[in-house]
Amino acid sequence: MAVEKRSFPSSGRVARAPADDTDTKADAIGRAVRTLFLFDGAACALTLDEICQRTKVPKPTLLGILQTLSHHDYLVFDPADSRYRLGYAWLRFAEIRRNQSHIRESALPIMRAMRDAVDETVILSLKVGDQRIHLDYVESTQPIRRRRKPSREAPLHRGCAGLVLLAGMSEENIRAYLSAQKELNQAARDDVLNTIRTIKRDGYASSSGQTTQVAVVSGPIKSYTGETIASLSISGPAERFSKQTVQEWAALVLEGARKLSRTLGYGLA
Amino acid sequence: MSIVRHPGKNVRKPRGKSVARQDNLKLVSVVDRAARLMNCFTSDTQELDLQQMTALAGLPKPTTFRLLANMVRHGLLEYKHASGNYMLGFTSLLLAEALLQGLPLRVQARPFMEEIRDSLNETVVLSIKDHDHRINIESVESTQVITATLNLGVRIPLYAGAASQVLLAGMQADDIDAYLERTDLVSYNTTTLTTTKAVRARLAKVREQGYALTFAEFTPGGSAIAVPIMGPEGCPVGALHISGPKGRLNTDVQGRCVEALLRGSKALTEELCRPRP
Repeated sequence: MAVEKRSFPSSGRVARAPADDTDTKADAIGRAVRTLFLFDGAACALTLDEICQRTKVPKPTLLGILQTLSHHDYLVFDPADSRYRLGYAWLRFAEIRRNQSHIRESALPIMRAMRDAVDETVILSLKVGDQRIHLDYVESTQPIRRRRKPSREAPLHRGCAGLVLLAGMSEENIRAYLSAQKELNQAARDDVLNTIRTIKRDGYASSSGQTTQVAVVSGPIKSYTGETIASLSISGPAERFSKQTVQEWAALVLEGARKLSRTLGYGLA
Repeated sequence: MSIVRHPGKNVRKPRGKSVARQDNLKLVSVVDRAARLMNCFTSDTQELDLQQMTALAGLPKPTTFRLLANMVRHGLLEYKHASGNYMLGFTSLLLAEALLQGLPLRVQARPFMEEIRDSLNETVVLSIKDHDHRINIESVESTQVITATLNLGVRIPLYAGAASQVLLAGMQADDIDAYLERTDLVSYNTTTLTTTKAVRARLAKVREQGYALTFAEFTPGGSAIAVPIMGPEGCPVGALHISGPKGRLNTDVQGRCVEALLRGSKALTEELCRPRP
């Protein structure tokens, strides 16, 4: 429990650094957050003793924290079984927060930096049901370049941007998706499955564009739930693409995708 | 509209480690202050700067700043460098996810809710009862431009709104008596029922019809039709409701909503009663 010392800059004392008591054991907010994160699907209801054991916070202090959290509906105490559960305030907050995740806005500076690094077109694609759509482009400045096209939908298994999205799905959902694609024969389905294996191994999808003359490297963007919800791609004419550039593009794509996933809460738990 | 209780919200507190409350509640002041700062964020106020947060907290600026920095550090809030604003952090999304994992009804109800939504293209909401409140825990949204607000996670009293009333109607008679005895019937809108007589009359009607139909008792301008979800023990474990703008839910649509809801809740009950391996 941090007893707050008022330190006005004008008082002549040196103002304390903003977060200087956060690493100590007495950081009550840290303890409160640790307590909240004890709860999950496997442990959705905990007794005072269980929370005490897991947080190693002394019981009297802990009780104060639990009461404060319950007071604000961050936890709910059920006298019937003497257990605490997560409170419904989190649903309220999540609803507010969810409406603020503007992937396009967060992606734009990252996409610009990627474009500037290789001067090729960068594309942000979204998974919408069983389709991928290209949501946004930052175009290369070179005269021969991949151009922005009005948002076109395509099935997930067609093109790197969609394949990365497909590879992020569960085995079960991938199977269900493929069996729903009536125009694919068994050989084509096996091809897709092989490509997915390669994507899972490398972490990205690439195509040198033998048939389309368009080379692409795509990486997955994950949300706070770990689900792959979008993909980031670098794309340009196949003639500027080589074994060496695929490495360079892939490194950029993966770094950009990692940054963007972080702004969407991935890996923060 | 949030129904978070702050008995001492505007009371000046003595400084010290913890604050004793009238009902023997011991609050840890730093956590309490942090929670009050978080509660400032609503769907209308999604971002706030230091100035605004300081004013809302009623604390000196350096104290507020230190508190905010600590909250950002723990992921409760996020600081946007570009605008200098604070907003809710991803912690809220993660904890909401963890909370929902403890509510299996939500996963089981989802396919039935989608089916109802697809047949009518109106927003379908799942709620549960927690002691004296109803809480909306999941929604499947209509794709129409104008839809009702959802109020997920907000505590809504059991006498206001269609879903509340089907949950209340499913309680034992003496539990209903005790509930009405201890509850102040607050008016949220002109249509809110504010006498126990009116509430009892409504509950009788709900039991007779098997569904509840309300106009803007909690959400202004909204209209709702609700049915109970019966659990294996024969009492309601939740409610399904369709929520939409009053003008769109005319008598013809109401009939189809009731039909779709009853069909969905019956199928869901069968699913809930199915023996599990």
